[in-house]
Amino acid sequence: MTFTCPVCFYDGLQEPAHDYNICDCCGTEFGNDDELLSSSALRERWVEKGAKWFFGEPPANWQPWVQLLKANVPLPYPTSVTAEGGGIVRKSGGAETEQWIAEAS
Amino acid sequence: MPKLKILAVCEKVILDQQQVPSLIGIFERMNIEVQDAPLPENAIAPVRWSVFTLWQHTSEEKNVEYTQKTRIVGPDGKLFSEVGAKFTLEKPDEFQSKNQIELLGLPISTEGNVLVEVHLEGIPGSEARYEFAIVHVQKERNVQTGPSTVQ
Repeated sequence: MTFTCPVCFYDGLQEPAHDYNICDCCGTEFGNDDELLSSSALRERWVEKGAKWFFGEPPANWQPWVQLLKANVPLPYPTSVTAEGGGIVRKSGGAETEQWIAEAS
Repeated sequence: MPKLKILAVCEKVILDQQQVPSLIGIFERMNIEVQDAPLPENAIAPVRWSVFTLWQHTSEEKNVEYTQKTRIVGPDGKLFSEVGAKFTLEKPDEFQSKNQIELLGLPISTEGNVLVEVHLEGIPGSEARYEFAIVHVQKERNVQTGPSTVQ
């Protein structure tokens, strides 16, 4: 069984988020760091420092921004994405196909 | 060996009630509007996207389990995601396998190409790749001008 950190939303905690356990991901010590600051304030602080992994090596393919996105936390930087097609789409067969259908029917 | 007939990266795959797929918004070039401040390391755009593959089988490949490995490498050259998907052709009247890999977040920290590599585990010669571009576009500033008058 694993637990989710209320600060960074890492869902691989081996111990629950209390009793001075520490999140491997954001380094929050539950029962200490969150005594004076809320989870969202601690999250802001973690994000401001670059949302780095705290202890040891992160899990393979770990991505802090995907982790926040999955928890519906807005990303801390503006993003706007627009898809663009490169070249033209070559079409063929239109009129010929219509003629073939007309002749066949 | 199954033959890869379609490898496409797109915004969305719609499946109708008969499981017929339609690919929406095939990725070619993604323009990312950036501001003066640089994007953070490993930045992603909050986009859901899909990798779609269609494999054509022969009758000898019925009930054989394959594993499709999909690797996504960001424009910065770092591995963004790696997904394994097992599939088997079971029904006697089927000759195609269709796989959809759903992804959350588009790696956008640097300009360049996102590389999508697909292969069947343990089957040499099954490798295929698809690339699309990430382009940073400077956000246009709103220039305040005084009211124009027409005489």
